[in-house]
Amino acid sequence: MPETFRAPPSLVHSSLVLSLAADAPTRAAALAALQSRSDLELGRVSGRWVPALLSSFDPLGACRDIEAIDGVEHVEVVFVTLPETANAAPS
Amino acid sequence: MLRREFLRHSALAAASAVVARRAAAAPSANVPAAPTGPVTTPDGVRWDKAPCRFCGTGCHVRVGVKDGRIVAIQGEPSADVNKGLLCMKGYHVGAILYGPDRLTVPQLRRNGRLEPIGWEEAIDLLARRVMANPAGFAVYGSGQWTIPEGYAMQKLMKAGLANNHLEPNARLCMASAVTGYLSVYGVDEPAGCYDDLDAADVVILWGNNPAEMHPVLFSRIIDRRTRGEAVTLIDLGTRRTRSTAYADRYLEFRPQSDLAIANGIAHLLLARGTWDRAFVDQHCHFRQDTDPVSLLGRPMTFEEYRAALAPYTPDRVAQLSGLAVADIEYLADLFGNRDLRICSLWCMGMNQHTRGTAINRLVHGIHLLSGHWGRPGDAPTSLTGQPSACGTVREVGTLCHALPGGLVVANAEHRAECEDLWNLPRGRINPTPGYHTVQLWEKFCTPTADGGDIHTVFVQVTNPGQSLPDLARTFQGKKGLEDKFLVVSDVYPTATTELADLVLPAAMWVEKNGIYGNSERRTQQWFKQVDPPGQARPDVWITLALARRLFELGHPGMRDRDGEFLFRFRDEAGREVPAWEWEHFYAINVDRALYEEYRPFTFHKHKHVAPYDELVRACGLRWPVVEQADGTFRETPFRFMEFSDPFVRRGAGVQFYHSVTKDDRALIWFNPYEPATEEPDADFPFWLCTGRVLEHWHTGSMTLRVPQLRAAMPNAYLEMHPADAAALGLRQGDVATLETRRGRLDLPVWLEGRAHPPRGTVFVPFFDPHLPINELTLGDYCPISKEPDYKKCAARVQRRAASRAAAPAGPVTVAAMPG
Repeated sequence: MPETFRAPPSLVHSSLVLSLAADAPTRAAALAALQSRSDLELGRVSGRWVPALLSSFDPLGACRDIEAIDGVEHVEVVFVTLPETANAAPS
Repeated sequence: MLRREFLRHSALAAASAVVARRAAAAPSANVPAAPTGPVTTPDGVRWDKAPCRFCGTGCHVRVGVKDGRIVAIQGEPSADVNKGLLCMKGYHVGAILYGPDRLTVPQLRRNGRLEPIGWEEAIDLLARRVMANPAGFAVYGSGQWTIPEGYAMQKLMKAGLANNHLEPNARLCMASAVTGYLSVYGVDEPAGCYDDLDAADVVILWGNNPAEMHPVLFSRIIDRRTRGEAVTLIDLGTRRTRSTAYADRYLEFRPQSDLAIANGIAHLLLARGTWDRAFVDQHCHFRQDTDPVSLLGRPMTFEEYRAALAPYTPDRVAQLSGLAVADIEYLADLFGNRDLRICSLWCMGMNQHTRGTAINRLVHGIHLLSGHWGRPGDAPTSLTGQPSACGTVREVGTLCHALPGGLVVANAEHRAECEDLWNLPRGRINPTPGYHTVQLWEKFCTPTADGGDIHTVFVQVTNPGQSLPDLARTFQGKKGLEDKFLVVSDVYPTATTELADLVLPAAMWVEKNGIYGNSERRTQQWFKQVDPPGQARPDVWITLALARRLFELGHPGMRDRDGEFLFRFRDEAGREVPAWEWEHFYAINVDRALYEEYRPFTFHKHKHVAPYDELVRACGLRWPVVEQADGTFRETPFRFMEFSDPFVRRGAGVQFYHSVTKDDRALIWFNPYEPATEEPDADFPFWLCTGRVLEHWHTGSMTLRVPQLRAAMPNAYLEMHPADAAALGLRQGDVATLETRRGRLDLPVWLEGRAHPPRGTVFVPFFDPHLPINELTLGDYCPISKEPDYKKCAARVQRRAASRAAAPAGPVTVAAMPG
């Protein structure tokens, strides 16, 4: 396998289901932190769950960051678009 | 609206629908109807269904295609398995088709270099190798084979060449689960299903990490807790993983001592009288091994069983395992409580084990002894790692001793039944099992003059050059053996293609029709949705073309009882179609034809798989699938249980109708604790454990081509306890030399990552072709299942390079490692 692949950064749109904390203050703080993220568009909150649209060049890293937010208990993926640019040729 | 905008809206709508369903008072209601066929949305994206390409969970997805290319993936909302969800690997399943170095033409190695050749020449070359010595030909296949691919090769080898040297890579992952189920119930595969996770009060993880390896299944448990349900999660493991973070109790045990723990639980159940005497009296016998050990063992009385368990007192088990006495008693308390429903889950920790059959038997035995069996939520379940280790390997029987449908070559009645189904002359099928995986590769990598009687191996859909244990001995010995010939069919260059003499480009996933069978007996079908690149072709076509060429060259085994070619296909008008000719391959649905031919084999052991057309209409169906009086087909979520299984005798409640003892009873085994075949000592003081990571699928041949996954996890690492590292003068990012008696490897050290081994244990993932940890692993295997132990061997660690200036927080790259 070629040593490295250098792909140009590609924006990936994906949708997530976020499970939030049971207690209201923690949940509210988590929602505030989520809303402040520029890569995240939240949908309608239902109980402890909220759908979200993630637009990121590093979706895995973003999901890890989101899951690390206090009050976010679980991150699940529902939908993902593939980057429009093809993978670059190996260097 | 631009396509991109439409997809963004679709994405959020899909997630919103999942949330709405969860938040509903009755989440099981309002499930979307299963897709009735491909759908094209206003943005011109064509959506069709498929099971995910990756793990044995078998999530169903919708694949969005536009202009001949996958543009989006969605979790299938109507799918029982994943209920609209994907996982982090499923996230990128569409992208795996588009690595820049896809194999696109057949290539033959000449003068050390792979050179393009045509398909006709490639098939002819392989066929002539086989004709020269059919008995010295072997096939190494895969739990990632589709069912038709595995069935075609099964038929070619066993019905055609009378050659049982057919083995799957699933020997390395599932064989101990198979022998466990066979020796306990008389038939393979879990009786329960994923619905057990929705009903269990307690879930015990026996050395597995589903938070990373089966995330969608793990999500079921998390989702129940989020709803406020009480689900106790116990993580019984040898190192803390991502699953541990969610566990109510983490019980860390010394490697190999799971055998003692299981016996300790059984000991206490008897000592306290909390075992389920009524269930055992009605449904079980006791069993012990013969000497030498064997799959079916010999009878044991209850008193003998009790006596054998006597030494496994809590104190003794604590001494062997490192668990506290209170923890052992806690586990026994759980199993002794019939008000609880307990689901045991396991995967490689129990299967890749030098006593893998034994530990599988013991965990089944705890459930049977305590009566935690026969109700939804009470289930001992081995999860599979590959998408069709169950459907293809275990059900089609692509193993050196097996025939389709759970039949075996050594049984004369089974052979006769298969010969009749295949319309073969009596005596065609070879009664002698072939070489199992480790033997097969040893024979191939041994000079012919020294008894290496396998001269040609054809590898399909797997990468043994990276995944076999003790690699230098079991694979790299092929170097320099000029008379040996390795053929590899794959989608990307791998460590295996690097040693191959002939490389064939294969179609992958939705570039071909396919059928998989997942961990819960669910058979799932998909149609081809995009074209493969270049001259890549489906593996099933390659096998048919090989069979036809052998027929043309006059191999007698390619003819059936009537002298006709083994593989015959007809269109709807009844006209013969030469599907082995590429231009005619898609003139009919070859998958459908082969699968419908295979289906009757599944009736023998009541594993009735659904008709193909039923699979087309569904997101999979769990066998046995039985036709009802009204002509519909009904699946079976729970096997051997009267409320669900149509083959259970009325009034029986629970009936193990394929029991070893032929009396509808399962077997509770005693197997002793035995030390690992290689344990740490003064020279090699660490336990080395290997395994997978969230981002990469097995040997990384697909996922390393996805830039986001590669960036997230670029290379392997040495995970160790910070105190052990400090004692060796190692810091985060330093390069250490890891050594076993089989090899050595320099690896970057990763401390306080997502998993945390205890002192005295190190972990290395096996996905990285540049850091092939299997050069260090142990080739010892379970004497019954022949499955190697990748989880335990002795190692030592030494500091190698100077420390780095900065200590990165995440996975450490090897980019700057010195030469």
